Amino acid sequence: MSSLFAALQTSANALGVFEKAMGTVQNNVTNASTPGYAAQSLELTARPFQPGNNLWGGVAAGNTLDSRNQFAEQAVWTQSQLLGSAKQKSAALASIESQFDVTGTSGLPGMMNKLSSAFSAWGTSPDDVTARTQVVSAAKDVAQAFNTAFANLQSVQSQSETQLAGTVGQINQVVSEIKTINEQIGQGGGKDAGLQAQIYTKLQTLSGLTPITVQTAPNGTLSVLMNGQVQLLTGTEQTTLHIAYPTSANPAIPGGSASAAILTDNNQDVTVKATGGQLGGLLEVRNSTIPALIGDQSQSGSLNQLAKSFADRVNNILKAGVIAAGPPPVPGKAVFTYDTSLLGAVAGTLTIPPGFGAGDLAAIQTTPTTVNNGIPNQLANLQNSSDPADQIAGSTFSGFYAKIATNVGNQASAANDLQSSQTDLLNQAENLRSEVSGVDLNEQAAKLLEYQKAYEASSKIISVVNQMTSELMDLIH
Amino acid sequence: MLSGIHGQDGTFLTGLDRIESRISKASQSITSGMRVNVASDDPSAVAPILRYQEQINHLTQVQSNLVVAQSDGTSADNALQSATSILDNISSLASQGLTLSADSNSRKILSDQVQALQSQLVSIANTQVRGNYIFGGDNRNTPPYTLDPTSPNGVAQNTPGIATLTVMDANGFTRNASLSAREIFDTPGSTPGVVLTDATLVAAPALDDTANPGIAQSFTFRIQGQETPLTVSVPGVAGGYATQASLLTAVQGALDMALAAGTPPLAAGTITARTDANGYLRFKGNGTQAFTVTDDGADDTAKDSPAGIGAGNPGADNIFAAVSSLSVALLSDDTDGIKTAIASLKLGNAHLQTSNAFYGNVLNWINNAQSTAAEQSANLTNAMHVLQDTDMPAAITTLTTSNTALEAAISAHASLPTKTLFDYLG
Repeated sequence: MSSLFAALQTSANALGVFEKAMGTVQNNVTNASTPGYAAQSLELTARPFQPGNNLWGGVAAGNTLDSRNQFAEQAVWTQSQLLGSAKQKSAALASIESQFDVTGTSGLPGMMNKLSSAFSAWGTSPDDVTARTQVVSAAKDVAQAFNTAFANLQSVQSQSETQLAGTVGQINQVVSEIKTINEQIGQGGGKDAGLQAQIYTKLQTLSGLTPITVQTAPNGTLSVLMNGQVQLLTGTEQTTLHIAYPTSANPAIPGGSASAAILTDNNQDVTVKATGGQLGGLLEVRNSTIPALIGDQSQSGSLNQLAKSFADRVNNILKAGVIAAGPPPVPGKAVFTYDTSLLGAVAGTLTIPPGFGAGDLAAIQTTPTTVNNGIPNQLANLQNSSDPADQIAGSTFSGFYAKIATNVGNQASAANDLQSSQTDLLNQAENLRSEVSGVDLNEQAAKLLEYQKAYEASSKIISVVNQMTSELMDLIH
Repeated sequence: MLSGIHGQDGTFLTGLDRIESRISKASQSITSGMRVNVASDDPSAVAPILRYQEQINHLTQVQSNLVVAQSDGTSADNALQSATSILDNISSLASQGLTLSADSNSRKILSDQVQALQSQLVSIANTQVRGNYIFGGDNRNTPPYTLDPTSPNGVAQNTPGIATLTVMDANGFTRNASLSAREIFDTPGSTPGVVLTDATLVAAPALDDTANPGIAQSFTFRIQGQETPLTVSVPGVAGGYATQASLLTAVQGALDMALAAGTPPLAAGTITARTDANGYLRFKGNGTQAFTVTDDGADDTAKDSPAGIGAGNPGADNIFAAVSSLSVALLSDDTDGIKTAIASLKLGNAHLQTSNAFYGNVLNWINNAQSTAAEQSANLTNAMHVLQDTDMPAAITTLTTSNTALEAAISAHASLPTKTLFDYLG
C-alpha cells in the first residue's frame, strides 16, 4: 500500500516538474526575439529509486541552464568594436574627402588653375589693366578656396568633438545601466534570464562604443574593463569618463588645436587605451586624420603647408621683380598675406593685403636679364617647373594637393572596405552566437511535445494508481 | 535570439545594403558621367586626373596667348612690308635728286616728299594693335617716336625702345616675339648710346661760367637700374676752359669720379663724354653695360641747351638718320650728301629685311607652337576622358544586374518557410 501512495506522490511531484519544464519552454518561446536572451533549459534529475530502502525515485527539477556561450559573446563584442571603429572612420572620411575636389575644375585645384591661366594671360600684356585685375581676382579666389577648405575641415573637426562628447556620454550611460542591473543581480537575481538578457544587450551596445572585457564575480555581478585595462565598472562602482583638450605650454605650432584626451573621473589620462570601437575611431579622426590636414599643436598640417609654400613662392617671385623700371625701379609687392603667428592656420588666414590692386603687380624680371614679362611667365610655369624652389617635397604645388586628396581617398576607401568586411564578420559572429544560444522554435516545440507526453503519462499513472487505491479500499471495506 | 534560418536576418539586410549601394553608385556615375566623383572612387586616378586638367587649362591659355602673339606678329610683318615699300619710294626720290635735271627747286620738292614719307615711317613705327604700340618694345602704351625736325635724325624717341617681351609655348620655352621701333628704324652705333633727354649743359666751346667765374657747375642724371642719381660736378675755371679738349677732359674726369662714387661704383670710362658738331654734350656707354641715362629734368646751370640731344652715334643702317640726312641733303642741294644718304638707305633697307625675316621666323615658331599645343591638348583630353568618364555600358549593366539581384534577394527571403512545429501542434 505504501508503494501505491509513494507512486501517487512521485507522479504528482513529476507533474510539477513537467509544469516547470513547460514553463521554461514558454519563457523561451515568448523571449525568442528578445535582444540578448539566451535559451534556457530545465535540468531534470532522477531521484534515487531503492524500493528496499523506501526510496521510490521520480524526477526532480534541477537548475535552469543558460545556453549562453562566453566565447560566442566575446566574438560578437570583438567584431562589434571593430565595426564601430570602421563605421566611424568611414563616415568621417566621407565628410573629409568631399572637401577635396578631384576634377580640377572647382575648389582649390580649380582656383589654382584659374590663377595660373591669369598669370599666363598677364604675361601676354603685362601692362594691361584688365589682365592684371584678373590676376588679383584669381589670387583672391585661391585664398578664398583655401579659407573654405580649412573652415570646412574645422567644421568636421568640431563635429567629431561633438560626437566624441556624445560617445563618452553614451558609454557612461550604458555603464550606469549595467551598474543598476548589477545591483539587482547582487540582490539575488544572478540566475534571472531576463536580467541576463538585459545586461548582455547593454554589453553588446557598449562593445560597439569601446572594446570591453567582462569578468563575472561569484555573486554574478559583472566587472567591465575598457580594452582590458581601464576599469569602467566593478560591481556597483562605476568609473566615469570625460573629455578634455589640454593645451601644451610650449606647442611646436602656436595656436594649433589641442588633441582630445579621455580622462577618468580622477583625471587619469586613458587616451592611449581608448582604441577601437566608436570612441577609438573618433579619437583617430580627431587626433590624427584631421590634424594631418589642418594641423594641431605639434604639426602644421598638409593644407597649411601647401598654402604657406604656395603663397611664399608666389610672393617671392613677385618681390624679385619690379613694378616699374624707373628710375628708380619700383620693387614688387607680395600678393598674399597670412597670420604668421598662426602657422597652424595659414590656410584659414590666407588673404590679399588690403588695398592691393592691379598696379601693385610686378611684371618685370631684372635678373639674370631684364624681361618685361618675365615674372608672369615664371608664375605661369610654376606647375611645370622642376626647380626645387617651386616645389614642396619634390612635387609641384598642384601635385602636392593631388597627394593630399589621394591620401584621403585611400583612407576613405580602406575604411569603406573595412566597414563592409567587418559587417560581414559581425553578422557571422552573431549568427554563430544565435546558433549556440538562440531559441530554436522547432526545438522548443519538440520539447513541449515531450513534456506534454510526459505530463500526460504521469497523469495517467496518477489515475491508475488512484483506481488501484480505490479498489484496495473497497476490498478492506 | 532566434536561431536557424530565421536568425539570418542580419546577413540578409547586409546583403541588401550592399546591392543598394552598388545601385546608387552606378546611378550616380551614369548621371554625372564621371567615374571618379570623390577620391575614394579610385584613389590611384586622382593625381593623373588633376594633372591632366591642369595641363589642359595651361594649354588652352597658351593657345590663346599664341593667337594674340600671332596677331601682333602678322600686323608687324605687314607693317614692315609697308615700310619696305616706303623706303623703296624714298630711294627712288633720292635717285631723282641726283639726275642732271634736278635743280634746287626740284630738290626742295623732293625733300618735302621725303619728309612726308618719313612721317609715314614714324606712323608705321607707332603701329597699334588692340591699343598696344607693337613696336613700343616693353612700353606699349606710348608711341615710340614722334617727328622732330630739330632732332639730328628727324625724330624724337619717346620710350627707351627695348623689347624684352617674350612669348611662351606649351613646353615652357620662351622667345622674343617682337622688335622695338628703335631696333628696326633707329639703330644705334656699335656702342650703345646713352641719352641725356634734356640737356642741362652747353659747352660751346667752353663751360659758361661768366656769371659765376671759377664756380663748379654740375649736372645730374640717372642711370637705369641704379637707385641714386649721379651728380657730376665739373670744376670751374676762371674765364672758362680754353679748348673743348680741356673741357672734355675736365668733364670726363668729373664723370669718372662720379661713376666711381656711385651706387654701385662703375669703372672709369664706363660712360664717355663728347661734344657734337652743334656743341651739345653727349654721352655714350662703352658697350660693357647696356643702360640708358636720363636727365633728372632740373635746371642745373644758368644756361640751358636746346632740348633734343639724342642717342649716341646712329648706326650705319639707321633708317631714320638716313631719311633725315637725305631730306637735309636735298634741301641744301648737297649731291655728296645725297649719295651718302643713298648708301645709308641701302643699308637701312637691308636691316629692314632682316627685321622682316625676324617676324617671319616668329610667325613660323608660333605656328609650330600652336600645332604642338593643340596636339598635346587633344592627347591629354582623350587621356582624361579615358580615366575620368563613366564606362556607360558597364555602369548600365551593373545597374540592371543589381536591380535584378535586389528583386531576387527580396523574393528569395520572402519565400523562406515561415512555419515551425508549433504550427502543426494540435
